Amino acid sequence: MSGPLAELRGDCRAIWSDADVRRAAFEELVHAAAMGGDRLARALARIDGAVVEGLERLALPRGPIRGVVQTNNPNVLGRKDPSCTFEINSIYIARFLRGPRGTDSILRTWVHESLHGRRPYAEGHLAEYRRAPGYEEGLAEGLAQIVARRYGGLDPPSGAYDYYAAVYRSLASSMDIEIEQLLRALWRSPTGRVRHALPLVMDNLRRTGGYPPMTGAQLRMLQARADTMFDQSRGLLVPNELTMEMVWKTVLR
Amino acid sequence: MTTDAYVATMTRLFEQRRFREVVELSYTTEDDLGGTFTLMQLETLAACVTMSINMLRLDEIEAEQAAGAEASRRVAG
Repeated sequence: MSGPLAELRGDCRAIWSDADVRRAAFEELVHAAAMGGDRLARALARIDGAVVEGLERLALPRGPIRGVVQTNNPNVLGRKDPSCTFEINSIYIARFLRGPRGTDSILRTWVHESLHGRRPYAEGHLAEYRRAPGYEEGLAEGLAQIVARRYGGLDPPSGAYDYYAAVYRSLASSMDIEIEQLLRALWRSPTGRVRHALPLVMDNLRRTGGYPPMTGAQLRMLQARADTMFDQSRGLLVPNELTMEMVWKTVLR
Repeated sequence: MTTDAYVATMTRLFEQRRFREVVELSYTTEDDLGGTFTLMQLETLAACVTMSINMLRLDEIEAEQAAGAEASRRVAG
């Protein structure tokens, strides 16, 4: 672990840093899910507490949620509902535990869903998600990968939402902006306002780096390209970041 | 159907915005398929199903909001 996560202590530290402890915590969650009651509540709280404390150390705190509950859909690993309930599924967690890197995937997903919960959803979040879910999913996944890999020392495989995360990575890279700086700036916007924030954030970060302000035409083109790349239909594609960078560079011409 | 074919089907349905079918098919188990999902397949399925549920939830929320607005209009009227 590195950065602020290296300062974690006790059980939180063990869950982040020790793969065996992490695995045991998730296995207990799977067993507890069959029992319900206090045992399940304790197992959920143990892992959730480690995620919450880690995110607070990283200055990416989760906002208030209604609670962590089991969902019965066997193909949902984790999901943050607009009602502020965080859903997990122990059957799916059990499937991930079959592989050696599975616990890294589960913890990254828990972080991803917690990042959705940074603030109450903004009015208009329906329109943004329906039009282009990648603005929000790419933000949550991009930051979750940074938290997991850069700070947590984990190695989750790239998979879910990686196309959208790659859109942000390629955008930052093509415009000489550090990806974590870009995603942290966007994270300050609530779910439903990320699309609106993107051109302004990009322009501000570029100007801070000594580049001239972007023109109105460039900002409109940036938004149009982003709308296309964050479209729902692209969510499961395998990303090609070099091609994406070429697309972004046309914005500045 | 193999696990590969199942994931391909789910992906295609998602790309075609057939979210209800994605969610309905998501209850298919590994026993039904007679195989075991790889980690990458699990990641893909999780994203596919979660985004589909989110899209359907948006419809529900929109319908609830519309019903609420209609009720308010009636009260005001």
